[in-house]
Amino acid sequence: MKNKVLFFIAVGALISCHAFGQTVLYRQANLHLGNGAFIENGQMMTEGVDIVWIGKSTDTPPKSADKTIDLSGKHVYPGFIAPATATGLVEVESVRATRDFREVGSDNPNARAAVAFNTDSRIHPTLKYNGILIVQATPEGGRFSGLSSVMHLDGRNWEEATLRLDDGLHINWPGKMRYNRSKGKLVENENYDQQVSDLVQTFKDAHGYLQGKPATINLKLAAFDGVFSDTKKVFVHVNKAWEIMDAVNKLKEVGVKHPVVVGGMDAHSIVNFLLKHEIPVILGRPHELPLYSDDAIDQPYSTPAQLQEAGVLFCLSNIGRMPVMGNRNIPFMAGTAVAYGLEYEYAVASITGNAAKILGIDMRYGTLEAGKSATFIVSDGDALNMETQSIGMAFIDGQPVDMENWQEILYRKWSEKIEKIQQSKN
Amino acid sequence: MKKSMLLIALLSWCNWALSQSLHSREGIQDDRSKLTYAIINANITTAPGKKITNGIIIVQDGKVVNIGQSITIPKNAVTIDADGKYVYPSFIELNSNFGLRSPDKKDKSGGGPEYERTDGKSAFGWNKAIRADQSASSLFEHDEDAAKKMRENGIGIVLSHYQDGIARGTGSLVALTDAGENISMIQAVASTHFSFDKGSSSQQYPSSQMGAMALLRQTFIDLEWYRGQKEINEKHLHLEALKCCEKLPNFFSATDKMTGLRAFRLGAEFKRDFILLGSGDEYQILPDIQGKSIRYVLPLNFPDVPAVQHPMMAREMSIRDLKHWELAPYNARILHDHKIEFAFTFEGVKNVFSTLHLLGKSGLSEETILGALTTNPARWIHFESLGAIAKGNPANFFISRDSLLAEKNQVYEHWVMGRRYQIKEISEYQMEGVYVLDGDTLEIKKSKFTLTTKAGQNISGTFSKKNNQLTIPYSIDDEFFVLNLEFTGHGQISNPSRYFSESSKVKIIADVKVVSTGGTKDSTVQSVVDEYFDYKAALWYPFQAYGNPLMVEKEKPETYLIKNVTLWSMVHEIPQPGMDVIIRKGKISKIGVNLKVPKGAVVIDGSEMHLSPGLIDEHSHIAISRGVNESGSSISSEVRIGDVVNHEDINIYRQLSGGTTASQLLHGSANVIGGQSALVKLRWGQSAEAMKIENAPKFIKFALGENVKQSNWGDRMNVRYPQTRMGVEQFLFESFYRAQSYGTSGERARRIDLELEALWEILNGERHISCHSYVQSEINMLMKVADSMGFKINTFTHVLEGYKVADKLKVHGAAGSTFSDWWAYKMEVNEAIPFNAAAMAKAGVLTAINSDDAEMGRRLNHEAAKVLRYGGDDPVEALKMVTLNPAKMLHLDHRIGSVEEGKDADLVLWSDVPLSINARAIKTFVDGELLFDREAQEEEQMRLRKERVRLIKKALQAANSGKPIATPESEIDSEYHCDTLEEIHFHEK
Repeated sequence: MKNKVLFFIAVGALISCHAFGQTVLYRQANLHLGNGAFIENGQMMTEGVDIVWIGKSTDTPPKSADKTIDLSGKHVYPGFIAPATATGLVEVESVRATRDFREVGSDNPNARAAVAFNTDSRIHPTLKYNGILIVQATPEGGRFSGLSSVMHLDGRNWEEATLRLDDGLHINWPGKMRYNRSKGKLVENENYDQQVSDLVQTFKDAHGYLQGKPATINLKLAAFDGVFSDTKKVFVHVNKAWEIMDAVNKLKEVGVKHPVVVGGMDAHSIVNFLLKHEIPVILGRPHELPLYSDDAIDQPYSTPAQLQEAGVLFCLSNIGRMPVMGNRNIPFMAGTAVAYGLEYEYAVASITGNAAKILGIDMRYGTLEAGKSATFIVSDGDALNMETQSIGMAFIDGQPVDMENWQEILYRKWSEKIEKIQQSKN
Repeated sequence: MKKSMLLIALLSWCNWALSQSLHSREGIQDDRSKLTYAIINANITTAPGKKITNGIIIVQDGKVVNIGQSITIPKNAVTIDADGKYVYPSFIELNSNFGLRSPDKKDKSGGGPEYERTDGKSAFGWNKAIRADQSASSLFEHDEDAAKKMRENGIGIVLSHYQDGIARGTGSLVALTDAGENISMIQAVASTHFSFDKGSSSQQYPSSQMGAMALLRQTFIDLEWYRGQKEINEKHLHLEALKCCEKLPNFFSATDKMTGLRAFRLGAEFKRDFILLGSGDEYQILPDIQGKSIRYVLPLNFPDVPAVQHPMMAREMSIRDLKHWELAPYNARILHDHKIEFAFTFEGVKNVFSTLHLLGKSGLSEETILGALTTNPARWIHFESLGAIAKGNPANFFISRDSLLAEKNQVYEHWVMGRRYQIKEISEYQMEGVYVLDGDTLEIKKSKFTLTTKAGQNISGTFSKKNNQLTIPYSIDDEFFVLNLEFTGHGQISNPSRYFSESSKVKIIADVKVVSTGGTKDSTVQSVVDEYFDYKAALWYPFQAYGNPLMVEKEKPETYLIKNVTLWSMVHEIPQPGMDVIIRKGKISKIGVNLKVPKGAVVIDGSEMHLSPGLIDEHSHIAISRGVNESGSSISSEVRIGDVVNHEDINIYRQLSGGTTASQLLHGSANVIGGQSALVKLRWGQSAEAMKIENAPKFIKFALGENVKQSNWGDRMNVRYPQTRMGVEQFLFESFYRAQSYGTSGERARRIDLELEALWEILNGERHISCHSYVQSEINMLMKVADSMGFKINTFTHVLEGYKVADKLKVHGAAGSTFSDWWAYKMEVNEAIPFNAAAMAKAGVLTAINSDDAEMGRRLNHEAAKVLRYGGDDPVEALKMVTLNPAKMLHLDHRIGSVEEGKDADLVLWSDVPLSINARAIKTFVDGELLFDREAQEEEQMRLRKERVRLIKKALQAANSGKPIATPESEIDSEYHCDTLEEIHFHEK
């Protein structure tokens, strides 16, 4: 019997229903579908929460629209997705009172990001400004960090913002090497085997625990519900090749069918392994220094292209320094990947369609396709290039997104003040 | 000067000779030290390159009284037959703490909130790391166990010092004899010692290497001042101590090559010729040390074979680790080839003689090696008589089985100050050979034997050896035998016996006849270079991935013509297509259309490409070693980033690949008044010194806000002043008033105070401030402080609320150097907006975009492009924020920042509009030199990979041949940010 004390609130019930909304036709748009395809000067029709039709300029829409919007040369993308981030769980990194992403202790598989997700964060509007509409709110730290949830950035409360509740369990794989402070060098982690075996044992214990009605409730083990049936993903945060291989092998052994590698800075060196085991990768941010000093100087820039070429399913993230506020640079990281060999539409997919697939929300989100959610952005120019990005409109489930941005307001307010002062002096 | 030094040495020598009989005596004396000994039949090397075969040494009363081939042996002499063995002068160990306890270990990593001043309890200096008054002689206690081990390894004399602190006091020269400290101490005060390691001091200052350097520099300045005092009103015992031993040799303990080099430079400022107790990696900075009069005491503890058996572990090993393993044994050889003088230290060496053998293999001659062990150290410590076996010199020598560079050697006797220490009988028996025993033939080779019986049976195996007894067990059919032999000389056997197992009866073997013997009696190992490896090809500079082969002359064209390029000159309002640019001798010599190809020019087709000035990072922390913050105090204006520039940082090369060519290397922001900046060009392939921009204006880092208040460093950090922005203002006033008084009261004329000197320079307009700042109140405050004291703030860096005080910045004349889009990481950046740069620029403030981050520093063009995303609309103005504008801020715009004739040829050729996300730097020039070429990058990578493969293969072979394997360790690159407090910051990935 499965423990149903806390978990399982039907996701569908959380999404407010706009089934009988307006029909809108967007014309003369450059449609970046998010699945690798592109329609120049295309058309898209939405109705209520859904996209109902996508076509070329010469195609005839299936029905007449209540409203037609001419986008003349603008670019439409599915809303960008930022995976594996503490967005909504922290406001000011250095202020303890605002840090809700790391529970005390090492094993917190039961910590749930969704319930702490702050829909009123002042960071959200700055992400939306650059086209990020969906995040995977993710706890951090320890061996078992907790449960993430996929959230959109325009909800009034966390329930409304939730797209997929408790979508995955996040674990930090132990490192083969550890930093030795007195030597100032990396040395072999002598506890590695023990740490791995402890981690494996926790999975085994959880598996046993979930087999029958437990004598006493153990919230930590109960949190593994869904992990072995593949309804809850396991996201393993790990970077180096030999650690990745260990992580995948061990997790498969304990019954995790499709672990997702998060970070994966070294993934490019073991593409065959990843393909063989069908392991998707949430890549740590490309705007990072190479993992090893002897690596190619642009390795993190070219990793996306190398994974794509090999056929590994991957998406981008902003794991690294300033991980939350820096999410707004995710589109530009995709842009960098293009400069270093990734085909443009695959770069788009790496922050939309493929991200949705990896997070398990691709039934509804991540691509511009008939039958999927009308969650998209409209940019005047190429949205992966800071030189040209300018996002005027965004929609989540067909609803226009509140684009008011505190930073823009400050800018306007103070620019006006200073202009006035300077004019009066002249 | 030199003569008087010798005189002092001689005088103290006399003291040593006369000081033996002061102790009270009891019982019956058995002093044999006055006996005369004659060591005969010896192969003597009296000094490097000087040999006497079949020689005689007469020792009497601690000294060599005669030496030669055919000299008269006094009748009363006790004769010792050296049996043709080798005699060498005792080695002198200069880097030792023999007879001294290890210093107390204090937890330095705890990181206190501030430095603690000593409370004037004694008349020493305020900093506990200055232990100049410490003397090894007062702590010295003979340690016979350690002495015995050293004597067995040929070491007879050591210079011992207490290894604690930055000024470590004086060292003592002692002989390794157990005759009592009165006798073993040759010179109580023989040397002075220094380091940059504060050791057991619990004080927070200095927390960085540049801090340690500043502290030592100030101490030497203080010493000069103290020396010049005619009438001493104050007593400073640490200066007193330094003053007393100024004529002694100065030793400096360097933990790495750059530390040594920095110490040498610092010493030179004060005419102190530091002898560097080296680190073994000096060959890595050959161009820096070549041609200088640096003397090194080189360690010989070479690294074990890198742990490369697991291919993934091999990946953890950097090219630096791998190359160092290969080259470390060649360190001395390389230095010798480049005329750099050295001695050796055996600290950390397990097997001295096999190490000497390795040195021989590296191509060094016995003469050079012996010189580094005897005459060089003796000369350096002003005791030349200790370096050679000669008439009148103290009798310091050892007798060994083989010559100096033999793979395995054995010291039989070691004579220290005429005292004999027997380690093993000289007449050791040579067992190798072929023997005929009662018709059986026995062959002995190493520890293996082969016995061929009369009946033609072959038995072989290993045997156990005890002294001169040899025991061979074997069996034939069911019978078990033990053969027992006793050796009495070279291949001489007496009492051969054979035991039968069944009866335990002894049967005496007759007819023992020695057919031949092996033995090494006369085999001199002079030159053992059998694995000569051409180090020249393996040397890279900088010693890092993508370093240049040092000994390969790289073609450096003087002239380039970049044709038909779109030029972002930064002086024209829009980019100009179709331009030609000529680079000549490091400068931009001509800009025009359809220029004639100059003679010998390399022509680069720039069509479809864009040319911009090299990007300039106003705020960078790359290329800095051992601490970016001197966080021990709220004011550290005495420290200089220029002291600790690191030319090997891989990020220099990585940033070149992003078009960055010049940077201000700033002190961190841990305190209100930080340290002095270094303005550098990213001249990859040049030394740290050569990276610094010639005659660059002087800069200093200031900081305001949360970092200087220690707001985010934990609950313990609440006692250092200031803890509020109110306090910051008052601290600034206090510091500048102190500086004003220092400069005007005559104090400055008496004694330079490095801390106040930097502030005095600010007050005089000779030093510019780049101030880390966030909120508008503090920015405004600092401008008011500056206005009231009559100086200007040159640059507010970060200046994230600059958009709120842009009008005031403009009026004051301060520039703003900001992040493109950082915020939300602490409270004071809550109102930081990415529109800041655009807003400041619009208000007329000179605006730049900076990195403060090693990664971001290699895509500054994209950071500038964000200005177009957030409020800006002019691409040229945006690009100026990472070129001309920072050049102006750094007062270097007459040389860099724009593409104009006559300016430095710091240029970047881009694949696209430089502000486009698609733009990649294709070629980066610094001073007209092509330092990054993307088209050659694949080749570079292949060169690196090939070298790795070669070394990993070599390491695998070495491991397979049984050489010891090192515990896995790998180097990491330190990465600094403004708020990095530790010496080494590990950025977890």
